[in-house]
Parts: sequence; C-alpha cells; structure tokens
Amino acid sequence: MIEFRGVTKTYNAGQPAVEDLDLEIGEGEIVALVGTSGCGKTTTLKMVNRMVEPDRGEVRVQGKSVMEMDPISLRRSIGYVIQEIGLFPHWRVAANIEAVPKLLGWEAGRRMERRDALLRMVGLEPSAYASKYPDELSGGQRQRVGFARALAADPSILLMDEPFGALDPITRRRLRAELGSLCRQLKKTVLFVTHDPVEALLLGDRIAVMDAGRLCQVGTPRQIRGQPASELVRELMTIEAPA
Amino acid sequence: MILSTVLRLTLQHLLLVALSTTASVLVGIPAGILLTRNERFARPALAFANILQTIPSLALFGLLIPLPFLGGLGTRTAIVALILYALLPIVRNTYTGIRSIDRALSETATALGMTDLQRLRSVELPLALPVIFAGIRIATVIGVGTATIAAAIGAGGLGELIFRGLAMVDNRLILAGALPAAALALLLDAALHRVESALTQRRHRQEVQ
Repeated sequence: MIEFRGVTKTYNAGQPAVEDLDLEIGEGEIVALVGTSGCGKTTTLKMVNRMVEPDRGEVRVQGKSVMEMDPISLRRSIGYVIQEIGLFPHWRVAANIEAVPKLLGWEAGRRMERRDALLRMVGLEPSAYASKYPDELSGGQRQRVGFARALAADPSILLMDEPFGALDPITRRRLRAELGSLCRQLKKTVLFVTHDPVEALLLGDRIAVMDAGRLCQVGTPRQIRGQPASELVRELMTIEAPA
Repeated sequence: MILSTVLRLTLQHLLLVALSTTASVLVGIPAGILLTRNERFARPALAFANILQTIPSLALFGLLIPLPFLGGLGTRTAIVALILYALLPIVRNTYTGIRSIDRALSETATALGMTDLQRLRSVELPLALPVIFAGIRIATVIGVGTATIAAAIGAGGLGELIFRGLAMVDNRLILAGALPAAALALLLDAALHRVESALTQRRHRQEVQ
C-alpha cells in the first residue's frame, strides 16, 4: 500500500531529516510514527503525498512511485489531517468538508449528501454544524470536522500529523477511541505521527520508532513494549504515570 | 466662479488619484503575489520600493520630466509618479498579508490537492484581503496628498489653487485648494473602509461573537 525504499531526504545540505528509510504499510493497516521532535517523522509523512520529495530512494503508493504520479491528483486521493489549525477559518464547516469533493468536481447534491453523512459519522448533527464557522466550534469539534474533511472523497489512505495534539486530555481520549475505531471500521490505511506513546500503543497495529532521521524499530505494540531494540525506544515508549 | 473652479479641480484631482491608484492595484497586487513565490527577490524588491518612497515628490516629478515616453510636462508624468508612490504600500501589504497567513493553512490547502492558483484564490487572497485592502487605503490617501504637488508640472488638480495662493500670498486661495484635498482624503478613506468591511463581513461577524 505505502512503501518506503531506501528513502533519504536532506534539507539545505544539513544533517539528513530522513536517512535510508525502509518501511512498508500494508492495506488497512494503521502505523504510528513515533519519535522526538525533529526526528523526521513529519517529513516521512509528507513524502507520501509528495508535499516533500525524497532526494534518494523511492516512495510507492499502491505499487506506483509517487514521483511518477501527478502530485495534485495524488494528494486529492489521500486524506490528510493535521492539528485543528488546518480548517480554513473563512469557510463554513460545510465548505471545509466539501473541499476535496469540490476540487474533484462533484456536483452540489452529491457533495451535500456526502457532507451530511460524514458529519453524522463523526458525531456532529449536520443541521446544527454545517453552517458554522470553525471558530464557533470547540477544539474537539474542529478536530472531528478536520477528520470528516479528510474522509470526504473516500480515500483509501489517511495521513495524520499529531491529530489529537491540541486537545485536552478528556476530549483527546474520547476522540482517539472514536476515530480510531472508525478508521478500522472503514478499513483505511493510516500512517499517523505522534509523540504520545499511549496514542501509538492504542491506535497502531504497528509502531515505527524514529530517531535522528533513522528508523530504530518497527513492530507491534507488544513487540515494541516487550523487546525494545534500544534504550531510546524504551524511553520513548515509556508511559508516564498520571500526576 | 471660484466654486466651479474648485469643483473642476477637485474632479481633476480625483481622476489623477483614481487612475494612478487603480494602475497601482493592477500592478502591485500581482507583483506582491509574485514576491511571495520568489522569496529571493522579495527583500531587494521591497527595498527598492522603499527607496522610491523616500524621494521627495517634487524631486520625483522633476526627475521624470526629461524621461522619454514616461516624462514630459503634464498629466501623464504626474500619473507615473503617483503610481510609483502608491506601489509600495500595495506591494508590501499584499506580500506581508499573504506571508503572514498561518503556514499550516497554506500547507493544508496544498495537501488537500489545490493547485497553486486554487490555493491563492480560495485561501491566500481571501485571508490576506484585510491587509491588502489596508494597503490600498494607505496608497489612496497618500495619493490625494501627493497629487497636490502634481500641479507643479502642469497636471492640474487642487494643487493649482495651492500653488497660485502661495505665489499670490493669498491664504484664501491656499485654503480653497487644501480644504477640498483634505476632505477628499477623508472621504475616500471612509468609502474604502466601508468596501473593506463589506468584503470581509463574514470574518467581522465572527470577531463580534
């Protein structure tokens, strides 16, 4: 589904942000990218939809190298969720969700139908929320809308960058459970970035731990917790007791 | 008689400002957009526009006179000079307005699969509009003031009364030119302010809540 083969990316002749990365994400699999800030996890994510282009190696999506695909249609075929800020503040919830279908040229009726179905799916009543602006929503609601937007054109792949990063702990926990099971239900292939070990352990079928641009370990939550490949992996995956 | 003269010169003045500001908008906004796409040129280009702004207007009018095509005595030269003055606030505000949009938003637009043009039209320009519009307002108000000096090279406008009043040491004549000019500046500022809030109504509505 998504394959990285010997991928290296260096910004402005510095230390490589990602170095010699090999990783495969299977169909319907949910993989968490974990690591400290600056470890290259967001760069890795962005190479899937060609927001960032690799210097060496190859990124393949559904068997095809992304460098041979048209970046615009590639991006429209992949769902993308970032922290709540990604909603367009001058657009209503409806327009935000319909963004990709509109780019794809769906007619208005089909777009509306899809939008209402998605709003219900993420637990927001269409009649109450479709015509609101993002700043009239709570953080959790905004994140739901962002998630609905990513699903709008029914992509088989979802990329998420710290999707629950900006939420309070209670909302985060609820949304994590809800949207996580939704991903699984819909059989989406998901690659998501987080620095929260709990999130990675709960949502990921597998976890890829990165440090300084390199992959330290890939494995199931059980493997990562049971046999951490290094002290760093152990430390990154340590769950702090609630204070 | 004097009233009809004031009226005629006011209209002439308005025309000078309208023509030059419109031209500046047509050139300045695309230029500002291009600068956001070519960061390397942004700094030198804005510095150059800044320098243009510091040339005393009387000197600029004078400097333009000997130039072929652009120069000479009269309206055309005045409009060229006024365009040069109006350019900086418009280019700078367009550039800054787009640049100050949250990076995450432009990035999201790209990630959703918008082309550069779609992103510009549906995300960057609408969000930068208040800042761009503020630039147009500044340019217009500056233009009304600078256009009074255009009379020095025979371009007409309310400056004619002011220069005549200065020459004849007649305060009433000076005021007959200066007061309508001030009124014109205030009026245009208010009018553009209204257009601006109409255009950004939705965002205003949000801020009120």
